[in-house]
Amino acid sequence: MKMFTHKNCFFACRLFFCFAFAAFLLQSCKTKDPQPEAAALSCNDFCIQNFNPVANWQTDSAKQKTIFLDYVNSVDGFTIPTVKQVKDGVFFLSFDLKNTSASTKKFYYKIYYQNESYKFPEQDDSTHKEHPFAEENFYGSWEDITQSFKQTEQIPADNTFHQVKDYFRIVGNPRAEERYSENGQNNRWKRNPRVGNYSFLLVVSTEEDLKNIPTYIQNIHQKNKDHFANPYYYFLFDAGKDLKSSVVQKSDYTLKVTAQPNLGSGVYISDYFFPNPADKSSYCSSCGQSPELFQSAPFQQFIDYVDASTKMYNIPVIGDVIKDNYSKLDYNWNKNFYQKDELIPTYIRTAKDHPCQTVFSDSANKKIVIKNPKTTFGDWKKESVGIITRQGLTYGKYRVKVKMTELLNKNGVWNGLTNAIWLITQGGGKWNYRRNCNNEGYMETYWGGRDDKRVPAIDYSEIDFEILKTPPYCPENTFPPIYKNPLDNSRDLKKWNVPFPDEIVNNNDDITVACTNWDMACREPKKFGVGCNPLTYEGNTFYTHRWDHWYRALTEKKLESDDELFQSNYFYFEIDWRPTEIIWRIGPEPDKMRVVGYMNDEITSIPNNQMLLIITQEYHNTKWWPGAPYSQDNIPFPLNDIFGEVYDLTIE
Amino acid sequence: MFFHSPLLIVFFSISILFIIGMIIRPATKKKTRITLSFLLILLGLSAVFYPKIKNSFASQNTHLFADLKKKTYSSRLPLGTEFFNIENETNDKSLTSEKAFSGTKSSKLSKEMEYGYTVLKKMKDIPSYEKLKTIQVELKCWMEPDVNDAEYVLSIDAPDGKNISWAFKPIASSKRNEWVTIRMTFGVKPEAINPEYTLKFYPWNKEKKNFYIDDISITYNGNKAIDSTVGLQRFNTNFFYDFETPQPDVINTQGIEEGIAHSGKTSCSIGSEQLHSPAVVKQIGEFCTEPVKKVCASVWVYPLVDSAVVALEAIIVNEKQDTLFSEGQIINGKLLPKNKWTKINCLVKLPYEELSLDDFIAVDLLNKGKTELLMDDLEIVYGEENDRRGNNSGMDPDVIYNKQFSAERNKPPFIPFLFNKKEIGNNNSTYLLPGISNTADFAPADEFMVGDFGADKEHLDEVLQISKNDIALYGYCSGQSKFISLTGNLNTFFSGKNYPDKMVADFDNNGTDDLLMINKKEKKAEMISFTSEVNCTSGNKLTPVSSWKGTGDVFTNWALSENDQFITADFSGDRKKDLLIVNAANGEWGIYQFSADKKWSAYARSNASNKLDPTFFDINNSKTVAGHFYSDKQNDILFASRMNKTDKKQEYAAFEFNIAHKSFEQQQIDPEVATGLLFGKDNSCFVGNFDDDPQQEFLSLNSSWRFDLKLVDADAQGLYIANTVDFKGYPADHNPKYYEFVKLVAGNFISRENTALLVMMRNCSDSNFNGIDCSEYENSTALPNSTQLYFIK
Repeated sequence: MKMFTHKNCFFACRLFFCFAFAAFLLQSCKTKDPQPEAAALSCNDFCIQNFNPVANWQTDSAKQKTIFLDYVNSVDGFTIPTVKQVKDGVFFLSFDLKNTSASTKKFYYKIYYQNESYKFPEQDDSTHKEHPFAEENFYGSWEDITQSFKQTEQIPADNTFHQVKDYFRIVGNPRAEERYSENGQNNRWKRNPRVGNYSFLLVVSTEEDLKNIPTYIQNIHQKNKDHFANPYYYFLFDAGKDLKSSVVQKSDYTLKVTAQPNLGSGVYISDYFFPNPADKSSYCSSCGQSPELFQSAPFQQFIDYVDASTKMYNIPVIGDVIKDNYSKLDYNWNKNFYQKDELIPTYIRTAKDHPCQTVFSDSANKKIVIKNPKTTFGDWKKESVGIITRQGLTYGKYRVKVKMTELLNKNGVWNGLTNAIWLITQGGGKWNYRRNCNNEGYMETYWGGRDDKRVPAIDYSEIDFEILKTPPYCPENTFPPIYKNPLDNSRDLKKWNVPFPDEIVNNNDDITVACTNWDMACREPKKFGVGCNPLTYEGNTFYTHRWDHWYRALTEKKLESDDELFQSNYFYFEIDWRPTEIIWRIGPEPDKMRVVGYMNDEITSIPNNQMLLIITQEYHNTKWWPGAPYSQDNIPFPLNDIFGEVYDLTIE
Repeated sequence: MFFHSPLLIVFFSISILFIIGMIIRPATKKKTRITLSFLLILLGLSAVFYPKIKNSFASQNTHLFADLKKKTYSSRLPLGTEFFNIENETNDKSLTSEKAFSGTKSSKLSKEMEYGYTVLKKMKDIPSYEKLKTIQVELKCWMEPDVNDAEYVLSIDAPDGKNISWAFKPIASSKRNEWVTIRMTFGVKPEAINPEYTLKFYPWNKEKKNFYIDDISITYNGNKAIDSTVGLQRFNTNFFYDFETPQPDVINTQGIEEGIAHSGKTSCSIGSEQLHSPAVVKQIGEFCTEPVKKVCASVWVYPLVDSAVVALEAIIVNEKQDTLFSEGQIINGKLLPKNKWTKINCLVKLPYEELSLDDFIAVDLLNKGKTELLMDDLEIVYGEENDRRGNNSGMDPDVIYNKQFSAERNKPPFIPFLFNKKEIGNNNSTYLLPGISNTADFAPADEFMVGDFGADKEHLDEVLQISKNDIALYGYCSGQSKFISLTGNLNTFFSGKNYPDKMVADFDNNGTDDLLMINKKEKKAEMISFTSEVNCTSGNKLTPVSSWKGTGDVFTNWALSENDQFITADFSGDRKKDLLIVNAANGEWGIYQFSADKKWSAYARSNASNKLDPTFFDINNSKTVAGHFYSDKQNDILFASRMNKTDKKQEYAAFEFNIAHKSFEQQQIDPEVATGLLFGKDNSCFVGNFDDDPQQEFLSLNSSWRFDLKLVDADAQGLYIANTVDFKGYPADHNPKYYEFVKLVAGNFISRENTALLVMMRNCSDSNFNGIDCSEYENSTALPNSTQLYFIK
């Protein structure tokens, strides 16, 4: 559907360590208050205890600490924590070490962190070797990649625990991979830290034993045979766990990282979507291109890609389908009794000429309001509207609390809009390529046809909630609904006002929640299929549908009450994007979510690149949706503005 | 979807044979070899006997169509045939004398020759090229054994070289090293028809192997012309079969019997040995004028066992009963639970370019699983929805996008003008008066005369209803927001009065309107006035009186004739309406006023030099409308329209009466500024002041295809469509324009300044309702019959 590239970024805060920690030296000292309950881990030459990886962050439960991503100044990438969150903007780590050898000596230590929520297991169940995708896990260590194991001061063999203190923070592209770097600059925003739970692994070693640890483990930016080696695998499952003079300790604490941007922080207008807007009159403090918004706005206004297929000859009717209860009779008359030369040729429009006119950030209520603008005679328009996040992430449970427009009126007639909550690739080309597709490759473009070239890797990915009036395609016997052909005989009501088929009438008040993963027709999943295929998850059967072997998207559809989703004060939609599965949920409250779509990596290629979240109220050409009962060109232009409100986005 | 493709099955069988052959090697155990050999034989037999299976299927189809009566809707009409023996070509590099089917030369495709002998044909050189539908090519081909992918291409290109259409068909045959005949058909889409386009035929040697082409015969086919009126017809393409009663297009009906049914009492029982269900068979020409692109169907299936496998299919056979095409939707047992009705939907795209209206299309259920099952309620929809009428809009979407739209005179879209419903307390019934259900039933076929017949302070109009058996008079009481009956002794009074032409105006200048009635044939006229005032409180009745009556030459020096047209308007400029009589045969005219001595005197009369153009007053081809359309003019203007019988275009003229010269000045309205249908002989025109400006305008209603009501106004250039008229405030979605039959009566019922519309809306139950005469109204719940009042304010 829609492509774009990421904004350029600033690197204002890269070297803040220079002044903040000049005084914070690596040190050892006598532990003043050893915790007797903390069990010590020992090896041949020393033992350690009281490992605390994030000593300067409060716990919110026995085993977990929670921190929210700080969106201010985060366009260059998220750091965890920031100076706004803790003094000096780093986590303090500490542990106690007792030298049990015969002589005073220095010891060597390193901390590793890894996102546990969205990872592949370090060890492959079948081969008991490192999982081939474990290198994709988000893990890191010291921000300075030239820093291998750090050494303590001389610690005497005095049978006493000495506290070792240090600091670190979680940053993007922790392995300083070249694919995310440009002109020697590490663009950390291209591989942002993931949300979810982080574990911490402390490894302490003697100088002698350090020699047994491979350099690509000591230095995570180094590769072993063209692949990164996951240190968690090495130390917990491989040779690292058998080191005689080393201690490996995985912290009891996990750090939960959640993203919950302040929607009242404004909406940014990017040059990418608005290269040359004619009308900037709606710029204001909460929407525009000011430096403040550049630094703080979590969303920018989104412009849908519009192609020629959206050209329509629309009926010359302006009406409020929802409020005026445009009926099936109205629909049928308009469908039959306007001549071609009375129709309005038009494209689905966007706000590209007038940024900020149709999106508003409400700082008082911390919400974003979007609207599809109304039409007046002579200025006919069906204009899509939306917002998109500015910081890309890989994986996460994206939950939005929204009040989007109702789609059906009390007659069950559709207003032509598609409410969409979707993830899209952050674009960018090679740095954001998905994992290679090893069975014939991906279709090269998302817009091409069956004859498109297949390539091993692409950067395109998309995961959608699209909610509109269209019938399910599955099971096979139900599709397509059989629509009678009307006759434009005004003297016979029954001939032009033909009834809709039972499949449509019986679901008059329901809209379809379409859940789609654009796997770009990668045939690598072992159960890759076309047509309708059942898939069971948590006792529920979902039907996946793909039109053909070359078709780039796999879709599941579920009928839901339009009133429940869009007449209530708000509703939640959740895309749970995991390394091996995607789960779509909806519900009235976060603790009352129900699954409406499920796919896994056995049937579809799950994207692993960095994506952005989009929330839109879009007009679609119904040719995209075969079997749709209402044709977009036979739905009136909107008489009134159509509003949608976004109250919350939580990614965890 | 599945496709009955013998080639596919044979290929599949051969492939398996080959694979098994590869597997069996000497080292294989003897037992395994025997088993595999047995399998080989079975597969070989299946391949050998496949044609019999196919023939069996074909014979089934033949059986399906055996008893059908064929009609000739159209057969393929050869527009021309050409033959190329490739003997006398000199410039074609592919020509060779190595081989030839006839003569000495052929076109050789080889490693060096990717494209062979090319035929070029200008589209305009094909007789009646505009009818071109298909092109049949027959050629002789000699292929060497390794040729697998030879094609024959038809390319259609524009003069600038742009490719319009490109298609290829395989040159395929199982025979090698001998001449074979290859036949193929190309469809030609309407968008590829243009006299300037060039057709290019050539063989394409994709693999660069060796083969030869000779004796190319090209036949251009069109569909035979059909009656031009048929093109305007809209065929019913929806059909439903509940199998309750015999229907002529259902064949193979032996299994239709009472028992378990999805609806009604009967369904179709299909036995385990029965491959085809009862089928619906139609000749394509029965429901369309051009072969359809698709057929959609649904059916309810009730399997009696668990393992049912069925296919809802469409089969096409030609007049010779050759199966041309079959395709359908297979549904297997998982979706067909035993002892339960399950609906199956299916859409089949048809090779419409290769079909003829004389071909037959059958829809049936294929019992692929050969299990017992029931079938009921088959619904079939042939083809796609009809295209909207009219020509494409000339508007540029980019202009609209850039907010530069400016309306073109008399071209859509027009700004909507909305009439609001005014409550009249009749509960939206057909009865005009509230609470009285057996009177005042306004019928659209009635005749309505509107005028200020009874004196009242507000000078509001009353409406006189002249029904077949009743005459009634009603007036609106604004204080009570309702109509009341003012009917006095009307039936008695009007009894025996036979005056086809009726006009309303205050002819006698007494402050209330009169009804002037004329019988041209019997040369008589009578003027009716009403006594007493309208009193909403007392509910008094108005009494009709004959205020004038005459026979013979009732209008001074005017001999009434059948050709006379009567028009009331203020031509003299005294703000009182005059009577204009125009003889539509010769253009003579006279303006008459009713004088104080109760005579009709000529205010003005035509002479030999100032007659009106009679063609604008021909009752069979013209329409007039007169009113005070210009506020800066002293008198009313008469507009007239006529249809040019040559080009069928509407022409308009304005007739302004020159008071000084007592003569009409005719001004032809520039056709460029009066495009479209402003008003014509089929339009009903209602003059009044519907909007807020001081001058009059008129509503023009055309119901020939749909309810199409326009507000027409006048300016310095003549007439223009100011608005398209719609309604609001109606109950539910019962927009008056949706009704099958809508009658409008305009009058100043509510206000002296603005004109309201009394709207009678009805649906007709007559099966062949012509839009005018309805013998029985149908009160649909979706659109209940009603009489309502609409007003701009």
